[in-house]
Amino acid sequence: MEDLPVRLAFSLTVTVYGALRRYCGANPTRTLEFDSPQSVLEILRHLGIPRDEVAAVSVADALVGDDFIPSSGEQVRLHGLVDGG
Amino acid sequence: MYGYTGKILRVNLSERSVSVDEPDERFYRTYWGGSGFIAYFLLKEVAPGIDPLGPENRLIFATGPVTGVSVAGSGRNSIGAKSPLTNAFGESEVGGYWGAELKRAGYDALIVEGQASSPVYILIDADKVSILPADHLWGKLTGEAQRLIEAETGLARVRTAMIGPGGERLVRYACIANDLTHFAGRCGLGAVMGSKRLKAVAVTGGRAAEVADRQRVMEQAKWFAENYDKSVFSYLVDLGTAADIRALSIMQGLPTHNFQKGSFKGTPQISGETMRDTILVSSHNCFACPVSCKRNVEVRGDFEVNPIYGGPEYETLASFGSNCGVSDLRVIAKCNELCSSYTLDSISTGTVISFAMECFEHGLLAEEDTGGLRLHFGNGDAVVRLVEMIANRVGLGDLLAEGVRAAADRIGGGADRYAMHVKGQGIPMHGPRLKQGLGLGYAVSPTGAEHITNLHDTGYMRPGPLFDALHSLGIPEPLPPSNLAPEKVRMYKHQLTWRYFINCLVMCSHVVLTRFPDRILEIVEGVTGWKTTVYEFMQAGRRCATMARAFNVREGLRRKDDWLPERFFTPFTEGPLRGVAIDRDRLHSAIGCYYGMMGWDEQGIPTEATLHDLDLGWVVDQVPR
Repeated sequence: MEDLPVRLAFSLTVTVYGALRRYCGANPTRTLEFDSPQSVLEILRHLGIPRDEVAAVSVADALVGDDFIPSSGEQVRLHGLVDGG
Repeated sequence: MYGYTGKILRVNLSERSVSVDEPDERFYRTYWGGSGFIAYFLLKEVAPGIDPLGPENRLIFATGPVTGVSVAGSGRNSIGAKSPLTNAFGESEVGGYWGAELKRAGYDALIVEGQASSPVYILIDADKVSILPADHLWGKLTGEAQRLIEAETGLARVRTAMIGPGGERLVRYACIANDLTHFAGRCGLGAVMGSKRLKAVAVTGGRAAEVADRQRVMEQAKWFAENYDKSVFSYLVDLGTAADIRALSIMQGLPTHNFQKGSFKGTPQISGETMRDTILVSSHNCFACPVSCKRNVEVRGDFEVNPIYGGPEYETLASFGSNCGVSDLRVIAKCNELCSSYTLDSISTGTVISFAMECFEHGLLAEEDTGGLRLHFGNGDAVVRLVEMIANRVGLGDLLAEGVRAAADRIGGGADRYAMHVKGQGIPMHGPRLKQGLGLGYAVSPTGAEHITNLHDTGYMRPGPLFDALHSLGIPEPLPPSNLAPEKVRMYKHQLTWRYFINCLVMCSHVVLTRFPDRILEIVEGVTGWKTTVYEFMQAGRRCATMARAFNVREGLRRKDDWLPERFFTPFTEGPLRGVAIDRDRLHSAIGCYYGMMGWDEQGIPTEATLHDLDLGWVVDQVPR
């Protein structure tokens, strides 16, 4: 029987900003695919980004919390601690 | 003595004379350089009450011990004077190559005295110092003046600190440009330069700075070269200082519509990513720095922008963008070019325009006042036109050129409610309802609202590399941005003290090296050969802050001058900070607590014991009690 490609059910685009850029090499935007919906905290864990170093997470330009579960296809933005000056 | 040339150059423009001071080692180890030199000479040589735009003012260009040494962050210099914007202590730092070149020409600082009878520029060519006519340069934009100076001196690597027509016309927030694209932005130092009829200071020198232990310094330079792209500031390479604009908007700390709001719908259009993907043509760096965080942008067609004037930094993006309601990056780039070529501080210019917009929307200014401009938030064409009117002191621009405080006084009718300043200095582009420790810093800063020698709370609300640096200075735990309790005051005071010392070294706060006291200790000992400690650094920082305070006390400033605009005590009505404002009583307590921690009395006057503790006994009699 021919193998069918596995189609993962849950796909997100994640962009990291500011001080978090050092966790993503040259490309700050990447597409992640999971077989089930994931919370913000689980996404961070998947990316190896310590929660303490994240100042804010936004989806559709709105601030979201650690337990927020984005819908498939959404863009998640992770912002590092902002020093300024 | 290593790290210093041992020479301070004086040029008196009234007498057209040149002389050199040679202070002893005790002077250097007490005041270190940069801000420390400026505070010392302003206290020693500028009498209280003088006109900042008169010949009695001093204009001081100062380097530090590390300036000109091949380690990142060492290309900067400080510039200081009594400010014509605040009538108080004025000081600003600037990057590029000019500072390193002055050191390589053989001088630790330049003090300009008096006032020329006609336009001049100073040429420092190693040991030869000339005062040259500049009638042909007066009125020229900086790019053209730079070209003419290069052509007539015939010097291949001449570096310039220069003013454009904004400084010549004494716009009270005119800045000074190093090499066209780096700015000593704040406090109106360009107007002081204009008042002296000094168009430029051109410098060339070839002597490398002498250091005590080159190997020790090079180890730190090597560490930085190998790690900057992995550090918390790695984003500077790709996006420059514009990188954080989205985060600030999300957290409601991005000044919008003259600080009425903290988030801006047009943020994606004015972000660092959009700049990179649309108008960015190249980036450039400062002396000995591999980061290249400075932008060069080009726009063709409407709002044509010449890349020789660099590109907008974060502060400029916010001051002409979100704070004026403008989401067209081309408009912001044009405003940036105008500010650069005329030498206007982009923060102050944007702040005074957003003030005028709010006055217009409330009917305090009408079209007959604005020369027909409809100054609604978001009208980019009007913003560009108003920058030109300010730079040329035309119509409403002439009033706005006096600064936001003076303009509000003249307009009257309650316009002061919309004037966002401290001590006359426009508020920088970081909302203090989000960063409340920063708000304390805005209130008590000797230069009026300022954001560099300050605490950005959002960097220190959780453990991590930024907090680790403060931890090593004795701060035990991160604190939320909304905290204004004594433990936040202590965090602010430690950060301030450290940053004042970095200002004495005149190093860049965006170079991650300067966040680590142990690495700075290695560099300073390696450069100077002095056996020193971080404790000595912190004392030097506190000394510098106290001298600046003493200067202001002598000018009559007191606790009442250390306060924020009313708007920041009004809660946001929407967004993640809904209901959040600065609490008056908590701010009042925090200010008193800060004075106490600094060894100042309840009016903020440094006590006699504090002055002696800081080896400032000579200041005791200068401070009224």
